[in-house]
Amino acid sequence: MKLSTTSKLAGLFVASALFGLTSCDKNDEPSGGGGNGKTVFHVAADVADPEGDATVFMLPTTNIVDTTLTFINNGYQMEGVRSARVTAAAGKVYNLNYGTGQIHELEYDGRNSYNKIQTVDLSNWVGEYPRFAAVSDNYLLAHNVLSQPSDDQRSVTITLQIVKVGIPGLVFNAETDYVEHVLGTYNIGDDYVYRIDAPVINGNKVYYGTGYRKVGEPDVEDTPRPDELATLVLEWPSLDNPQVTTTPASIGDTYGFRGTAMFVHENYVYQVNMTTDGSDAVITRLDADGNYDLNYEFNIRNVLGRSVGSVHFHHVGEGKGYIALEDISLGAEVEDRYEMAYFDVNTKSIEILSEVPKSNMFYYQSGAMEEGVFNIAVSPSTENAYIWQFEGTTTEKGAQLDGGNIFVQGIYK
Amino acid sequence: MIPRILLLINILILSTSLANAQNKTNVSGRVIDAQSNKGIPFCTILLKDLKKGGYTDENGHFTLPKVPVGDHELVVTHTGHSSYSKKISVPESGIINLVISLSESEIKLNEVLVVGESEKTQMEKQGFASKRIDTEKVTIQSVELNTLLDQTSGINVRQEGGLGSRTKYSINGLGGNAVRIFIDGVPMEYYGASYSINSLPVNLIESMEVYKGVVPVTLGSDALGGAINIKTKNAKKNSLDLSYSVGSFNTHQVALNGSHRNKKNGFTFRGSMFYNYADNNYEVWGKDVTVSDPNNGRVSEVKARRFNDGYEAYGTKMDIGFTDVKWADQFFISMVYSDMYKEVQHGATMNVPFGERYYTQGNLVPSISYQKKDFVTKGLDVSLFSSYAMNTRTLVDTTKNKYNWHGDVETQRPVGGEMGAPVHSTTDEGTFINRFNASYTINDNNILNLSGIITDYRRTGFNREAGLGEDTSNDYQNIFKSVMGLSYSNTAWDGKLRTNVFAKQYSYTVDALYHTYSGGEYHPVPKQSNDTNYGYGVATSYDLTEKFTLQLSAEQAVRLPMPDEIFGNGAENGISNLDLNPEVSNNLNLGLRYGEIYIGDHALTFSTTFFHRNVNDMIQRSVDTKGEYFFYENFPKVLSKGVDLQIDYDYNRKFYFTFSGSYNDTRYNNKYTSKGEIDHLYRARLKNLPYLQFNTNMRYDMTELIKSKGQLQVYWNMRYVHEYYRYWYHIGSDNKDVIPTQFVNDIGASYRFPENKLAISLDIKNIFNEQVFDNFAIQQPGRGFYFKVSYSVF
Repeated sequence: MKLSTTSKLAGLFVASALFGLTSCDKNDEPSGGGGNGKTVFHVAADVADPEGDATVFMLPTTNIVDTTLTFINNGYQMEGVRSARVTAAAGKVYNLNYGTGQIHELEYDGRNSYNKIQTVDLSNWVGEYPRFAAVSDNYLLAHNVLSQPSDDQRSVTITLQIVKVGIPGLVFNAETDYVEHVLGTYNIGDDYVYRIDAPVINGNKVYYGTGYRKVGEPDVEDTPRPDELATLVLEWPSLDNPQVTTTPASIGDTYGFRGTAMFVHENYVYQVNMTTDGSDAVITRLDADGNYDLNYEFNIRNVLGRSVGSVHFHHVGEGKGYIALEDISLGAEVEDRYEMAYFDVNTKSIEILSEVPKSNMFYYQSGAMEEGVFNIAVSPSTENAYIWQFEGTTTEKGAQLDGGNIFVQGIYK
Repeated sequence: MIPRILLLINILILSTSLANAQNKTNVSGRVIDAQSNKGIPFCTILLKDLKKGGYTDENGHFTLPKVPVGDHELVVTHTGHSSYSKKISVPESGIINLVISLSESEIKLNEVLVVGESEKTQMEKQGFASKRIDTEKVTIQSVELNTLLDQTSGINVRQEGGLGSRTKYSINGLGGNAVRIFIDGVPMEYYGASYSINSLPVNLIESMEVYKGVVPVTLGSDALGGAINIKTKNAKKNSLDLSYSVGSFNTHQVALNGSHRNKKNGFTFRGSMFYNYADNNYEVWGKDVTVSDPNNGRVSEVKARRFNDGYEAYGTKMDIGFTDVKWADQFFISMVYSDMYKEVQHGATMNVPFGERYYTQGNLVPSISYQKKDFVTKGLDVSLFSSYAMNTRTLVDTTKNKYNWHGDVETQRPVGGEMGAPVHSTTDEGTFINRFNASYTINDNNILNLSGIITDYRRTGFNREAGLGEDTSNDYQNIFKSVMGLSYSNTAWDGKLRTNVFAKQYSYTVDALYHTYSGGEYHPVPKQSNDTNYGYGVATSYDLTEKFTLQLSAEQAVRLPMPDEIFGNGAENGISNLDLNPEVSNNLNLGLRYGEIYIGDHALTFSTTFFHRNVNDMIQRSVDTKGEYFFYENFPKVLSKGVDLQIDYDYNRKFYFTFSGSYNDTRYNNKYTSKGEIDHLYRARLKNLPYLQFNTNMRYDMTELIKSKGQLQVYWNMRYVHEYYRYWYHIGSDNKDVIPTQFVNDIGASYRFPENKLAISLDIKNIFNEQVFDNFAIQQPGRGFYFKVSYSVF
């Protein structure tokens, strides 16, 4: 039978289409993966380049154990004028465009990517550079702190701006979901909150970790620190009545630098500090009234018998979790300074997971708990990077990652 | 869109066919010596009115094919003989036995019409990978210099918006500060944006020379990726030309250019002025142009006009002195003054519109220049230039208003500044620029050349919005730069082999004073550094045949850091890095040029260059660990290779067609990051860099169609730039920031009235109103209409 050129082309087209339909995707998952009841994880990576641009990519996968996950020619670029911030809640992925103040809601497309389904622009209320976090499966909070120094720079006026956004759908009402509070005007020597992030809800209050500073002499070379840790507490869901509560347990900020720094356990909010200049790494707790429980003392330095640094931690339930601790004896010039440890706020115990290699966890943001196993990416600068599975103090390597300058900053679900 | 293009092609071809439907015949004959009656070989035969010609063969015979029937002016020239000029009437049967007798010439060379290799051809055959862009054909059009550059093979020009917007140039894959721009051989960066390629109208420019990778010492500067030298009009006769262009987006451009020379004493005055204005209020749309609902933040895309993108620039240049006198070929005392105002519509993308941010820049540049051939002794040519450039920049961004894309104030920011902190900064720069060039012609085949540029740059600046402890009014930053070059040019093998070897010395000294503030007082922090580097290279060309030239050039090129790279730019959160090293690149070009060849009425020139660039210590912008400040550091290695080509064709000197294309494979070449990590960007195509581009330019002279003594031309330009990614190619697969493929078409027509006094043109740019992007998420102007009138007073 003699075929026309058109027929041959049509045949080729059909064959190609069939081949495309039957071939495996980049993760060797069947088409429509995730629809078979398996949990879909969202793995996010910061790809830094020499110019300092950190572009964020995210890829969905149901397998984070016995596979290789790569962002080479793979992954969905998250939107960010200056950078992209990401989180996940109730099965949806949220992308804050840091630089426009817009938040995008994305959903897994059932294959290897995402569909953008909604966008809200919050820049009129919290500016173009807010921070954000999911506080439940129903709400995101986006927040900003304005610092307005006086002309002589001897005082600063602090204003909080917070919006509450309903999810899914990014529902926002300017009349009811936005608050602005002037925290006060602070003079030289006063302590003040200049940043808030990593909120959690406990009962009828929301707790924010803080960046906490002292108003210093007008001196660009020095930024003095208060001798206390601080938390900002507001009523929930009204977001009224902001209060700054403090504890002398240590020195440093408490907002987790994009990671989680607080969790709720048995009506208490447990919090870890961001150490500074050799201050003690401590886990503190606040009660349901928003006050630090000064009787609770969990000083990690005392438990380990050596000074370590801390930034954030990851709760897995029942007051237990995992924390990255900085071996400050290595010095700042060493890139891989953080080791992983298992903690229990009930027994105030902490155990270093010595099988896990040291890495730079300062910028790490999120791990994912699945069937009693905590999954976290560990990316040493000069070794292979893996997702590790932690169960208690048992550790095991999972999926291999790109490593190098493709830094997996979080696993979400 | 494709059918529209095909329609245009058809119209053009049809026009061409119509134009050639008239009777044509051959003109042939012989040129002989009046005394010996022997044929004279290689005489130039020109039908002056048609600008069409040829050469005599070894026996003095010639044939000019397809000459239109009718009256023509025939000009015959040959070195050593008097020129011959006569009106001839060509019948339908043609002329087959024309005999022209030339007498040996008396020494009246200034009356001889020499038709040989043009300056453009000579330059392009020197061995350097170079192109010369003559503005003669387009000077009556509403065209910008950037457009002409962009149409040249190997060059990419990216603009951030409409007229007056910031522009980036790259040559063969290397861009930014690796490409240096000169005006009449003087580095242009010291003049500021108000007197730049962006602002100078085409009427004031004679030509632009583009050197790719390897730059001759006569342009004594530290260009690493290449150089563009703009040559201003240099008339020595009395002239006065005026042009005015008006167009879409409230665009107005005025240019005035004149000169006067007193033949008796050589006194010469040259002056030029320009004025540019544009609202740049063109429409933009897409996912980056949105407004949000004031009640619920819901986002909707809109089609909006830019409302804070206005541009105004004006300037003048005056030269007073003497030309062609005994003691100088040229001596001028000159002054450049220019000023500009530019509004800023948005930041790095269009997402957040600004309503009030703007900057101004102005300069005043007095200078003195001297040129003399055979200075003191025969064969020694000197050229000297000295100036002091005073430059002031101001950036204003203090408003608390927050605008949306409708141009409305949505809300108030608690703190001023649309791009971060409030800024009202003024930066003053002063630069001594000294340039010298001395060449000594040892004999017909050997020339030595010594060139140098010595600059002493000083910058001061302050921000009126600066807080206590941030006052910089007592700071200063100095850079003393010296770039010296020595070259030797040799011509051998009957002029077929041309070689230029050269060496350059680059040195600089940095001297800066900063202050810290503590205890209620400012404390001085002086900083100094210096460095010296060397470069060398060779450029050679060989004529395999009269029309076929091979070219090879190689250079170890050095680029010294620019002031903003060393000292930072406080207004834009840039901090200093005085330890910055120069960039070094090993550049190699291999080129060939074939042409101009004639096949009947067809003339064709083909040129291509293969290039290789290996850059080390590239100066790259970095961000501090907090992401708040940027600075420059030496780090990456970059390897670039590729090819560019250009084809110039004309038919019967009526239809001109130019095609240029370039492809560069420019890749990041570091295996490890500065932290010692595996760098997954190794061997990745450089981000945010176009790599495939084509341009075509068609021009048709329709003068014969309209039976007029004036000159009517139509043209059509096409520009194609293949899509490229804002970030790295092989990272990620979906929703990536992409600068989409561009395919832009411009058409126009110009008519020069008889006697060459008055000319008009109508230009339509981006005729299909395509959404065009040179940079990610920054839309270029849509369709625009421009009308221009040019008048030569005398």
